[in-house]
Amino acid sequence: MRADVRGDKLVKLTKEVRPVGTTLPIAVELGCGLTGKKPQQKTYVIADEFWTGVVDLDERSIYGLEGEELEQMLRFETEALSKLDPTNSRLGFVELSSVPPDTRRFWGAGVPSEILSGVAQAIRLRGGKLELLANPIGLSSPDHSGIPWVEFTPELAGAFAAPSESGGFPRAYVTQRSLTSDRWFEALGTMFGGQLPDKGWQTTPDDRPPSYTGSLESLTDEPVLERWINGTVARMANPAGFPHIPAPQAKASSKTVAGIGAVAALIAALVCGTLGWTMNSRVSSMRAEITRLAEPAAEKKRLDNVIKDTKSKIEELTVQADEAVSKRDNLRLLVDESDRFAVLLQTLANHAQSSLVLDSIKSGSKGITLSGRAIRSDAATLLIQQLEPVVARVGWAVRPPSVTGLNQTTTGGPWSFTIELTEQNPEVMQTTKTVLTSVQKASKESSQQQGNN
Amino acid sequence: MAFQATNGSTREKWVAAFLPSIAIVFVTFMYFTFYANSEMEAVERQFNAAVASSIPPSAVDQLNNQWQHLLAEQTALQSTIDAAEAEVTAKSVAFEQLSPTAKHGAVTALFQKYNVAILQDQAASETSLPTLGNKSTEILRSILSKDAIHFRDLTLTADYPTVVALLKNLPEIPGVLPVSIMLEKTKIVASSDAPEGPSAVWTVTLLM
Repeated sequence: MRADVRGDKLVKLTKEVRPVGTTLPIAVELGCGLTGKKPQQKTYVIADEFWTGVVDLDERSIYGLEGEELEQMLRFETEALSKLDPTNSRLGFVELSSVPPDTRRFWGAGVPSEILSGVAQAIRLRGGKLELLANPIGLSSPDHSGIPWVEFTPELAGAFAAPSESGGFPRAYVTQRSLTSDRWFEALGTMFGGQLPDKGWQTTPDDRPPSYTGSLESLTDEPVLERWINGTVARMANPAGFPHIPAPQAKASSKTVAGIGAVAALIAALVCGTLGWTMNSRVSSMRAEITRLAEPAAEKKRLDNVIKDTKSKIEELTVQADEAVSKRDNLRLLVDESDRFAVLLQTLANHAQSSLVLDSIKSGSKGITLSGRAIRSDAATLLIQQLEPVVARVGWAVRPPSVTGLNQTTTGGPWSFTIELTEQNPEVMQTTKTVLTSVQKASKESSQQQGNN
Repeated sequence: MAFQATNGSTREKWVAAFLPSIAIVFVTFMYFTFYANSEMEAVERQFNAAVASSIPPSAVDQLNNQWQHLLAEQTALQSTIDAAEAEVTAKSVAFEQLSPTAKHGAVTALFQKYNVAILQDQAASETSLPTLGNKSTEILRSILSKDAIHFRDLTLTADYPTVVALLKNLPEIPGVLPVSIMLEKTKIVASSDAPEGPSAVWTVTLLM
């Protein structure tokens, strides 16, 4: 039987008689092929061909165990009931309400590992994926409300109740039916808690125990079966409160593991290499930038040094230039103006007046002193006015005359006079001095400009 | 008893498979922790310091311009010095063209040419020259050899125009320069062409 559901609603139910002698994996494969559609990626296989039952364990014997260890323990504890090899089977279990004082009760369902892997492979071959394997008993309550119910199949009988409070354990008991005795029925009632629920399922009408007085619905009726399937589908949405065996996890081959490891190593190498390369590139780029930034600084340092050297040299050259120009100017005075005495005497003669007599010419450390007498008091002044422009060109500066009246006439005259001609650089040389001074001034301005920088 | 090194479990396979990845990550972690990060920090510090002390190219250009300007100044000064020294050297060359006796002979000949009576002709060891004249003489002495130049006082009587002509012609003798002139007891000078009284005594100091 194959039930296709969408959401939590039954969409299509396909049934066909199971060929005699087919194993569960083959039956599952045949069931998958009933509609021609691929089974879903969450395929639930509900089959009563494997053991399910309730087992009580001393709390001390399983103290501290949980998960896989507890499952392993339960496999060994249920070995006598399930007849399954503990080392080669899988067990799904759910803990039920404990039995005081020191007993814990578990509802389990066990299946041989090869059956489980066979079922999973059969579904995988058809394009689906097994989600879980479960025994149908106890999966669906008649009114979906969790009110306790009973179920009777040809081989099993069970009574079930949802947890009374959130987070609590469900109540259930499952037992094998016996054709020869009703003690199983009495035991079912006792182990469930004294009184069996009034409602329940029966696989066929023949499965009703004679002693049971409640109402039972038979799954042979199509609407009842659909209701049972819907209840089961709703229960599968949250597979808790009933024992089920999850699909075996496909074991990766050594080659696959090695391949995945190699890919992971490659990715790790790539990521680490990229990180290293990125950091290296960043360091390299920063170093290049440091070098680039250092170039102007080095150039500035070099320029500062050469500017300092050049200024120092300019200062030395300025002194040297002063000396050289001074030497040259002095030599010019001596050599270029070698006829300056002739010029002086010629000028004196050219501007001589009848009112003036030149008595002496004397040379001294300051220059030349002209002495004489005049019959007019302004004669000496007139003489120097005419003398000055001419002798200035050949290196003499004319001082104002010293005039003294001799008081031999009524006007106080005649007058004796003295005219001093002091040496100076000729006017031509003054121009050279001016040029040199302008060079020095420019150099000082450059120094101030660098100082400001 | 043999030790069981491996039990071949799936977990062991996965661990073994991921060991290279873990090793790579571990090596990378160690590399970053003990080398790359510290190197990065050091380079970052250097980078920040370089950025903080970086010089804008405009500043370098400005300094370069300033240097070029200074070089131009230096060149101008050097040219001035060279020109001045060349002129000084050129001017001083004339003083060594003739020997002292040759110069004296040329001076005597010139005086005879103008019929000038030399009252006294003697070497002057120390001549009182004006400041600038003294400097010029010192410059010449610094350039020329020690005995290349000396002073000579010539006392003479001559009329005014003759003295003017003499003073004009004396520098034409290479290495002879009048550096001082004195006149005593002269009479009225009417003009350059007027006759000079015999009482005019001139003293001409020559550098030769």
